[in-house]
Amino acid sequence: MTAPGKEAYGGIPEGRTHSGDRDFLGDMGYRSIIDLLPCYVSVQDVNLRILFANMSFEKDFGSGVGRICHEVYKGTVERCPSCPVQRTFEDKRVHVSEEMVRLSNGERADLAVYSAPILDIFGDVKAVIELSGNITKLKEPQRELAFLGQSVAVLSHDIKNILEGLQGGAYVVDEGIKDGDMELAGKGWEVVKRNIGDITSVTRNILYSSKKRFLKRQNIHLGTLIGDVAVLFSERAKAIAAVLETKTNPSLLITRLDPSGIRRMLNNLLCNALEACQVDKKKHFHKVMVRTDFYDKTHVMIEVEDNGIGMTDATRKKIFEEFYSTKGDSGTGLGMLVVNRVVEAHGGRIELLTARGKGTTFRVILPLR
Amino acid sequence: MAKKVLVVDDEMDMRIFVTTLLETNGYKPLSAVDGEEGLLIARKEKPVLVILDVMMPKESGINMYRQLRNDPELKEVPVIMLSALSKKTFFHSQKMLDNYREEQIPEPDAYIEKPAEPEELLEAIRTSLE
Repeated sequence: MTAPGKEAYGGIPEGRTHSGDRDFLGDMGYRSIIDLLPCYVSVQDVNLRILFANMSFEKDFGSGVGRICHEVYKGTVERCPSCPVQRTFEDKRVHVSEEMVRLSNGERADLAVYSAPILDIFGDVKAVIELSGNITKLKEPQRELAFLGQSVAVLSHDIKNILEGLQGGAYVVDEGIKDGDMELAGKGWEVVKRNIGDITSVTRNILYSSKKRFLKRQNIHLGTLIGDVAVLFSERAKAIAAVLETKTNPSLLITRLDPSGIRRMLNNLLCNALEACQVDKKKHFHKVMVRTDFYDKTHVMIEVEDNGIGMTDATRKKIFEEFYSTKGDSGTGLGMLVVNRVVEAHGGRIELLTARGKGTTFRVILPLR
Repeated sequence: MAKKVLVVDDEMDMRIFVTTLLETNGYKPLSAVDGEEGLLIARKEKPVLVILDVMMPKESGINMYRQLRNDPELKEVPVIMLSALSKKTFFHSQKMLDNYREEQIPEPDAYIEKPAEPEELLEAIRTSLE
């Protein structure tokens, strides 16, 4: 098949239309029908260069003819590992795969991709026709189920840990009271309180992530909000001998953000930062810094920086997968999921800088609007 | 003099709980946050009993247990494993490691799944020290 010019729109030559179709098709030709199919149709050569694309394709991905398939669909220079077109070139068969792509408006979409060979008179594959249906809507419930299963696993573990803490703490309080040892009872009480704090945080995360939330943007002063959250963590920071500091650009006045979402996000980031400090035994001095400033004229940024243990490459990659792919994850707690949701809901993004043994900085960039 | 019992657990709350339990029952608790520190203290202090968590950063309880059993001076010290990991999983991993490393490591004196009831743990401690 050759790439038709614009003049091909609206009909194909009279002689090539089956007479039986004519009544039904009226003035429309096959080309118009292919253009209007509610799926993306393209024809590609062996280098995955697009020779033809239908209108649905061009509407969602921009002009594709002459460009390379994965560049248009995914913006990558590498071929997709699961590419069905290449397999069809190899074995002349129909292949199917699922791909995650980016539309030209920036939205992500899941596609079910079918490929079929176009043979020349010698029976060789001359080109491959690719037909992709948008299955994002179908994938959503699947993802939600996966998310639910995963949250239940993570939660049961977290809750079991907290229960152990509560039981253990209560035992210590009991022993203290029994022996009239108030110091021991106090120590137990600290354990109980810390675990009450933990279960509160877990519960809030569940509530936040389990229902579809709509942003409630309000005029807020970020510096004040961050100060409030930091106060909540001052005790915990003191307990592990870490310094918790906040710094806000004073000219950053009122921003329109969802305060409860931002609070939830900060809670989780601070919690992680302090934990990263707590498990790092190599340094004598630990510090968590929350910085707020303009990122550029239209964006504000919130940075949470710690000099804790930092992440290994594996963890860093996993966290990025979590942010940039929706194909499930393994073992990340609810905390980062909530952070991700809050940032996404605000139309923002997250940057992560981390080095094993040195520390981690999360930078959240949110549009000011 | 009170008998020294070493508690190895990365969770601070768990250490506070178990050490309190030991202290109020007449033992002298020592504590460590991971297998590495646990081994150092065990070699230095020669406790009469070790209560060991399984999943810990750095040196895990699984490894520390095997090292204890391979240490001529510590191999007779009773060990109680105290873990959120199920008993079955732990014994399975031990068997696999035995095969893989061609070793024959005896089973620990007791295995208690978290969360542990104080009475259950005390009972295990007393039995191990008999």
